[in-house]
Amino acid sequence: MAKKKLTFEDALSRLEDIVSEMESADVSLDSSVKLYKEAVELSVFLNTSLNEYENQVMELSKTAEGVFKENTLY
Amino acid sequence: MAQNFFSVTQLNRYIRDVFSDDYLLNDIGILGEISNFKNHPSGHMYFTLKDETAAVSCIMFKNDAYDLNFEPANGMKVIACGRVSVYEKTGQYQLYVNELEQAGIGVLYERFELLKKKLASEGLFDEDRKKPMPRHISHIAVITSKTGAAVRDIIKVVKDRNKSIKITVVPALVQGEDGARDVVRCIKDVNKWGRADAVIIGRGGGSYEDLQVFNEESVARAIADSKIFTVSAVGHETDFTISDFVADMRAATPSAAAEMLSEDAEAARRYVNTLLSGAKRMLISNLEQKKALVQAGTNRQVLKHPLIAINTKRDYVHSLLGSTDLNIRNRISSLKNYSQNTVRLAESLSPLKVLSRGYAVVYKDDEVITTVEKISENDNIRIELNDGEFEACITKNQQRRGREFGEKEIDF
Repeated sequence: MAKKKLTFEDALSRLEDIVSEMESADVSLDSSVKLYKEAVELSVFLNTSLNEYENQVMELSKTAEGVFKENTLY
Repeated sequence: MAQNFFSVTQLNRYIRDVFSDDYLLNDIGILGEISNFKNHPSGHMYFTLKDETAAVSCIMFKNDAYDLNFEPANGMKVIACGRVSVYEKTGQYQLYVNELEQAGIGVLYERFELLKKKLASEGLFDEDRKKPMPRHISHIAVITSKTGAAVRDIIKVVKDRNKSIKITVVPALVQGEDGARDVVRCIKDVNKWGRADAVIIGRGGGSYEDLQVFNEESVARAIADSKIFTVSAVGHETDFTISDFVADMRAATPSAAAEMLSEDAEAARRYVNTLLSGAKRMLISNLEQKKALVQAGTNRQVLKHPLIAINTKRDYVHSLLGSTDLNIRNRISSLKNYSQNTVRLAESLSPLKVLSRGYAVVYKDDEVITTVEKISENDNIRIELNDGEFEACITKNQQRRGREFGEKEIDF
């Protein structure tokens, strides 16, 4: 049951959907709590992604067999 | 000392013949830069064609110059076609130009316009072909020269705005004959590799000729086929190339491209936190709402003072009882009175009572006698008093008398 890795885009979209769902008319208290929990998890994931510092710049190259490699440029 | 000698005229004539006999020099094209240009009043053009190390005089006669579709000027690169010959009068050889065409930018401009028209008619520049910029870009590929200012500028701008964005440089030649082929290869590679969210194709500023790689048809088509969001960033603000028209987005410079693609991390963080606060607000308001409902429910009098209902009912019953009570009591007392009166009346009417007042009941032969006419002398009668009876014998009959009842009637 391999789950596709969550992308930033997907997480952001889901968070936006949660907010508009919670704004809509009648959400049970139980659902509200569940949704808020999910919102917290998503925002942690998103902020973590934004805080990951990519210090390297890579260079793309291709081997003779056509395999792509990335090497540090600087 | 030379034995044979010729006149100058003969020499110059000879040289002229040498030139006209030469196959190459009769129809030759020369690439060079115009200088010392003079448009003679006669209509003939005189100029010098030069390159880095040499120069040659040129003349273009009025008739040939007439068809020119541009204005020759100093500094222009041209291809001059004609024949080389010698002006016998001066012994100077010249290029007699019968065709002059722009070799530098002019040619390039023309090719540019033609290609632009062609690709536009194929719809390659259409707005709805252009992909929208991905909402979140975390990995940018850069196709450009590995050295040079463009790549450094892009890296600096991206890192300044958002340190979390990955950059991968795909080095390519960006000018010269091999430039087009190299750039095309890189575009295809980036698409095949597939890890980038967006790709910047470009180079720093240069002369118009330097930028020609990005006017090549092969490059334009490779950009059109790119599945990844492509930004064209060639040269300076005012440089427009075919790549600019066919790409998903044009940036005036490589730095501008970097800025457009790198989402400000701070702004993104703020947005995420705004969303989260929104969710929190919704949760709290939902809670408050439900709380209010619960309070409203529990605030009802009946829950706070459950006995109130009972007391209310009880009071009601009491009041009902009270009023009936009164009624009944009244009825009872009046009935009591009535019955008492009736009893009293009955009592007073009771023969026994009468008897106790001194009256007697007279029986003759068990018949009650109420009139003296029934009594005769020597009759035996029985007399009943209130506490007993006795027998008597009439000694003498009394005379009848009229009586009056003087007793009152009893009110009730």
